[in-house]
Amino acid sequence: MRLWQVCFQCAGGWYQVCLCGADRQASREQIRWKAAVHGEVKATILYVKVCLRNPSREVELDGPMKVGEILVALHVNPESVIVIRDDELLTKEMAVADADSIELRPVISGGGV
Amino acid sequence: MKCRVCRGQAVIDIRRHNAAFCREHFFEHVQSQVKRSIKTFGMLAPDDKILVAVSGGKDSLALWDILLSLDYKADGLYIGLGIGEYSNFSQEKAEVFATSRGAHLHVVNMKDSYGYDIPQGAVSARRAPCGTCGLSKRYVMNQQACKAGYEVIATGHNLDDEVATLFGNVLHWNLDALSRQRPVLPTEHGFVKKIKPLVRLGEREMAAYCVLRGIDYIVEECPMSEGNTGIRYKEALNEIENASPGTKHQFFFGFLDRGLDHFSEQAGVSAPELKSCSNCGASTTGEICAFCRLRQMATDPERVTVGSPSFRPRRRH
Ligand code: SF4
Ligand SMILES: [Zn+2]
Ligand SMILES: [Zn+2]
Repeated sequence: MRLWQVCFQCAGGWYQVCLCGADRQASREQIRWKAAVHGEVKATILYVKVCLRNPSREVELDGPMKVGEILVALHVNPESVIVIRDDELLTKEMAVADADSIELRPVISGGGV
Repeated sequence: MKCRVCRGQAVIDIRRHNAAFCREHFFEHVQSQVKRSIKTFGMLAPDDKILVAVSGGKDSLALWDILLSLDYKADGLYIGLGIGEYSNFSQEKAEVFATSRGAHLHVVNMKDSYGYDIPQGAVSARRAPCGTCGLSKRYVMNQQACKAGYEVIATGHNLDDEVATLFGNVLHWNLDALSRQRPVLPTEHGFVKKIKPLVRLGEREMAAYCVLRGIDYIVEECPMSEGNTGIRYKEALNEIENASPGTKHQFFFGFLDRGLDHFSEQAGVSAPELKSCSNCGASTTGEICAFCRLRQMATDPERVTVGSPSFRPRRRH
């Protein structure tokens, strides 16, 4: 499911519109209609946000995706990272939804004692 | 994915064991692997006074946590290497952990106590920073342990560290190092016993352990680790491990079972005679030990005492 977070300024708040499958077209129509009636519309597409380290960077992907699929998409070896969402560890068959933020934390440390 | 023990939701899978664990049973798994290493290799007696070498990273903090939770008497030693912000942050992590566990942490600052820091030492000695750092840390750990009466030094070397070291030693056929790569180095020639209780655990497990135990460790890499061959070996080995889980474990434990004695016997025949360093008294094969030479170069390059030309320091891992 891919979400658009839509702010209709007239309504004074944010709410989310599902843009997956058949809903996608319907939602676009709905946004256009609201824009026509109420003027300005701000819309943000929500993605799965993936934080990577060394160097620190962020990548956005279309959700939902399984953790294993994310690692494949980003060419990350599952042996070299742990995957964290809100202080919880995720295993590779777990799904990550749009608007979720996950961290791929590298586990390799170097140097010799 | 289900926990192998209770069939509850797993939080981590460990492919080389063909197993996954929930949080609670993962902690049990980690403890049991450490207990097994301690027993198999005769690492510790129940009353041993242990000094844990703590860097602020995941392995050393996890090790300290595990030893404390197994009721060992374990204090920490943090060595301030003088690597800018990285050292400041890592010291903070070590101190926060010690306070949270009510444990005692010794802090030794290289610059204050020995007159140089790692970046400066590496430049003066024209050595790789990690080589300079490793030599300094080994010496300081041993000296501090002797001074404060600790019987054992415990380091956070995990399975991946040992496998990468073994891989490098084999690639270069470093026979001397191969003859001494063991999870326990006994007390001898003025060296305090050194143990590596995490050798049965991979670094992924140690990172997971810290996250699940709420241990805040320094995630950023040391800025001087760039180009470190150990990291390159680990990446290559992880590729192999991903294709054939269990390879790293077989490589290292196969070496301990079937290779190490062969190399040790060879080394025993040709072991150089040990003398006392003319400066500090530590055991060495040359006139002056490798640490004293490094320190002289770093603090007083004009007055470097040169040892025998063929001088090569003996390294205990
Ligand atoms: S990466 Fe190298 S220089 Fe940095 S702390 Fe580790 S051994 Fe020392
Ligand atoms: Zn369980
Ligand atoms: Zn010396």
